[in-house]
Amino acid sequence: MSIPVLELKGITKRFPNVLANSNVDFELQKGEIHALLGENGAGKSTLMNVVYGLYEPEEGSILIDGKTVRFKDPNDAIRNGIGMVHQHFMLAPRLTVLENVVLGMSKSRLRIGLHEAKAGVQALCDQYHFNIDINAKIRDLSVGVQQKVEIIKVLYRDANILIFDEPTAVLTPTEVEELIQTLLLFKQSGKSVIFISHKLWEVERIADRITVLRNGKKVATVEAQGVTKETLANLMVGREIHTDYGTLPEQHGPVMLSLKDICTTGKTRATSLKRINLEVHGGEIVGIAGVDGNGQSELGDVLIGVKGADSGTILYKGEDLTGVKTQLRLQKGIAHIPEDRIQNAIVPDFSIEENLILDSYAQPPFTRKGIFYPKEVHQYAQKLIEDFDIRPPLTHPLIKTLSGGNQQKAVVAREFSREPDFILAMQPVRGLDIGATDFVHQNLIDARNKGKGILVVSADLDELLSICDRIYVLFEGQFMGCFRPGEITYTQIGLLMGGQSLEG
Amino acid sequence: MSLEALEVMLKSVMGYATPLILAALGGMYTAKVAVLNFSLEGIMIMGACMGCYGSWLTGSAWGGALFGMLGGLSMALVLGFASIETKVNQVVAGTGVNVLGLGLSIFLSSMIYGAAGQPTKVAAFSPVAIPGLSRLPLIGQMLFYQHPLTYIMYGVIVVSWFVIYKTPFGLNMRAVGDHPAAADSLGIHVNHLRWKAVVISGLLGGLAGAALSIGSLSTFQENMTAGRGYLAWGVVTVGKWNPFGILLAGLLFGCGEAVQMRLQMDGFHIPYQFLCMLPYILTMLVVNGVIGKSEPPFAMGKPFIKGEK
Amino acid sequence: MNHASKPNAALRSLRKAGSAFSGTGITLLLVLLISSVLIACTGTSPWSAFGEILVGAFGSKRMFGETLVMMCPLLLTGLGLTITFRSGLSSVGAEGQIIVGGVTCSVAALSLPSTVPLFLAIPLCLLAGGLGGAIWAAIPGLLKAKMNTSELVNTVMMNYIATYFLSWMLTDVIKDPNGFYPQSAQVPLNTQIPTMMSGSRAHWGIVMALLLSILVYWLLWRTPTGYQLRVVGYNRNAARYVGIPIQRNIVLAMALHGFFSGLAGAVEILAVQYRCITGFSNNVGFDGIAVSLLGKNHPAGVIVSAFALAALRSGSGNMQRTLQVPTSLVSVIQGLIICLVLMDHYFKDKFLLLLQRGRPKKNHRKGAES
Repeated sequence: MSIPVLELKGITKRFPNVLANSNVDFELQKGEIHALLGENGAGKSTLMNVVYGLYEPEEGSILIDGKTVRFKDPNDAIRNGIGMVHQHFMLAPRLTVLENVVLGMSKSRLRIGLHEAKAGVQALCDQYHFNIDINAKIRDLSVGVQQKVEIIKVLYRDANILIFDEPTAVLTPTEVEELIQTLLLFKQSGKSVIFISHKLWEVERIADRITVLRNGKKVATVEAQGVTKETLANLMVGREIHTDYGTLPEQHGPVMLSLKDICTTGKTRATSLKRINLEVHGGEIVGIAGVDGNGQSELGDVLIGVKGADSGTILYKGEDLTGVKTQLRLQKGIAHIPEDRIQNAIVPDFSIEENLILDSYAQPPFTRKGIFYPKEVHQYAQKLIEDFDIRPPLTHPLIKTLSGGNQQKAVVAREFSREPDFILAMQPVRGLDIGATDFVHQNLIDARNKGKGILVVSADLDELLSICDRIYVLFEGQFMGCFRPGEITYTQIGLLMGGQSLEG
Repeated sequence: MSLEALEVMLKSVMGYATPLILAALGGMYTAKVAVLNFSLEGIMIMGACMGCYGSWLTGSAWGGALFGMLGGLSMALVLGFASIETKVNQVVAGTGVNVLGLGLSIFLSSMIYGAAGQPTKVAAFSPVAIPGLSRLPLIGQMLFYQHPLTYIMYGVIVVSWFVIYKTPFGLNMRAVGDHPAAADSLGIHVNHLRWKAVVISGLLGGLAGAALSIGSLSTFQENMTAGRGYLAWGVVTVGKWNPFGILLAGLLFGCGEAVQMRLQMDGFHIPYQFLCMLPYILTMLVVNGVIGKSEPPFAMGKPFIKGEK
Repeated sequence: MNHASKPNAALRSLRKAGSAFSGTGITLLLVLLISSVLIACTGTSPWSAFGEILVGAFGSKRMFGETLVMMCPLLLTGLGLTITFRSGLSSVGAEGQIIVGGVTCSVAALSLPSTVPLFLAIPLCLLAGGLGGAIWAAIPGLLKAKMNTSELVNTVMMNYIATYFLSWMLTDVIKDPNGFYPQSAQVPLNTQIPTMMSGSRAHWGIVMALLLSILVYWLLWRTPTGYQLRVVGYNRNAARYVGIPIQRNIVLAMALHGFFSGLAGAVEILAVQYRCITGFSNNVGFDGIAVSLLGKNHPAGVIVSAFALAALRSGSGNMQRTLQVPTSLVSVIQGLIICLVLMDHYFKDKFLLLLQRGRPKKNHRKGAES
């Protein structure tokens, strides 16, 4: 093999308390698409931030075309032909496409040089068949187009090595298809691509070679040709993936929750709900699948009463909940695991104890006759911490010092200990490690077996397939269909998620 | 009102507006990079104090202007350190700077001039007529018969507009204001840029203070800014973070002040205090979206921590 | 096993407390250092200056009384700000609320018939002051809740509107018809808060303020309302998802803030000035920020810091008289306190880093630059 365009040798990067990368080797050939596969927290992003000059590694070296280089900041990386398309787009919303592309590249101190840049940027758009109005402001563009702007930004800096950080997470299947075509074009023109992902199918489909990271260490580098998903999964997880939670034969309990013709106005047209109908029985787990940003958050918000529905009714155990306040809905026996843990589910600067009573603080024994009793809270919390095996590093820590998994355990403890009849779980295992994921899933299954009704909203199809009895697919605020796991193929589900109905 | 009286009044409008606009321009630079400059009051008062001192020391108003700028800078550096380096609540830090500036200006004055007391008259700027232009009817005196700091202000407006919308420095500032992490990912040093903006705002705010002590008057008085620093902040908001918008808003606010002085003299029957309230009420109306829509930089007031989204 | 870990835990919590205060300690040392330099610049020894301040603050019954008189509005304002800060709001509107509270209290006092007995008249007037401040503060609260506009801009602007409102009231509406100055007539005897130490101006308002500190602690940590306020303060989204009404809590926090500031204004009128005059608020609204920050937004801390700053204020007059060091030094010190207390975690980190310097350096160089 020829000299790799990029080679990493023995990269080690530590953060306080965490060894993010440990002695990682990696190499990238010219014209290669090399996937970096691993779970959340496996160290993929850290490794790429090292390559991009955002972090300086404690040990190890970076070689470009066989020569050792050191990057102080992204400028150095950019100068060496490295470009990165970030997962969260790095675009200033009120600047135009053109301004974002040339940002930081002006040669003169007095002139931005927009005019000179115009032709070059337009040419790049044409070359890769991107249909972008380069004078539009970023905030007026859709997510898919914004990603294209990110790509143009990188190309305009003459990058030969392009890093994509989970690029498909925000895309529709059609857009994913377009992206794959673009990546193939890069390959043809001799550019090299590093593709970070945790999705097996896309890695298998796109990559030439695959490097798998686990717990900050490199596990293996394999040729994509001929490798099976099962092999990759085993490498990534380090053991057999748990898919069988001992589901019981279907037991049809009474209808716990039903939505009838729910419509709302969301942030965008795509997230507005259009006549949603849904029933969840006791003793079943119903899943909502779909790419992020197709109305999932709105669905959760309407259900829990944070957002009002424009029309339609919500029935809980036969009782009309429409217009009932959030607090009352929770009191009536609805539990809720909110979508974004740090943002919505916990108060990071409160102790674990105070977080465990976030939705029951006003009820006895914590509050009696208008007075709040911290002692009762303490006793209650001690019990939950033990029952749910929450492991705080200190005796009275703020919850923000806990790991994500332990935080989520606290949320689960809080919600499940109220003995709810219906549970709404929004992206319940996002960002969790295997152990915590297992914990959450096991709790959901147990609740189901006790006859509770459960609705799980997740962007992770594999998760839904492993725990749900029925799955609805949400696309642009509408249900595309409903099926049972095993009834239809992956490809068919993909079609539904991309807005294609199966009948036509 | 006669034409002559109107001309005189319009002339005084610019007099009131000059320090406001200068300070607001300073505030605009920090706002562009999303630093919440709540300390303009403290910056201005130190500018006024040091402006007077510089003029007393050097015997020249220009010397005073220079000292005034440095005085403003000293306060801005405190804000910069607090908001950029230590990343604390910028509003509270700004309030601290204001309290500090007010106290320090009085303390320094009594220290410098000692028992002899405050000099009642130091060298000050006097109005300079621009030949020809100042004879224009109505607006001639207002625009072209003013002290030099007003002309400097005109220059700053034009230059600022060019800098912000036409130079890479300005583009970087606007990017930092809306999405610091994006700017950082392209190798722009967010905090360097913020420091630069803070320094500029200190210099301009200091000059604004000097425009009070050795422009409008020729001495320093305790608490002579009397809330103009906060008002300047209103001007930035009403002017929608744009140099020319700030010019218009500043003139509008100056107008309010001039009209109210006039009415007070004429013994008009509306209590003048209500007119005094107008600029503040106007700012509130704009801020709350009753009139016009004013959108601050998205990252306003948030310190930049590398590696955080 | 368990027995061995006990002393460890105790030691750890001791260390934790120590490190929490070490930041404030370093900050106060810095403040002291800077102000000493300033005093030295005037040609006076800092030792004697601080000595004179102490004498001025505690030297006699009368002087101690003055310190308490200063402390009262600072404490009340600081308590109100503690509630707002804990609720995640950063108001700078105390000054305006004090003014409005003083005015409404004066109006009430002046219009109350002199037949109303003292024990009824005073609470009524205090209530009028508190409500005036509460309403004034509720406006930016409502704007924040309904329009989501920054409470800061609105409170600042309303400070100035309040100043002109006071000026109008004093020249027009409640001006003493027999006087020349823009000030109100004296409030009737049945509304004047009595003094509590003979030979000093110390009044019963101070006792009320101390009792209210306990009430604020109780409100924040021993009632569901306080829990709600703090959840809203620390994570508004989480509050939303468990159905805590955010808008109502924002308005409530602001109104409470205004109530305490208004009360501070009312006490100033009823117990110190005995009439409504220009500038009676005396910048207490801004000094209150220093009080609550220095007190770490905890009522107990606020009592200590209000007392300390009041002593500084009341003692500085003595320093000026005997040593000709201007009282404006106190403003400087307060400004320094606000800025430096805010940054105390930074100084603490730097200080700890300095202590660790001795060890072989291995740590990331990158952190220092960003």
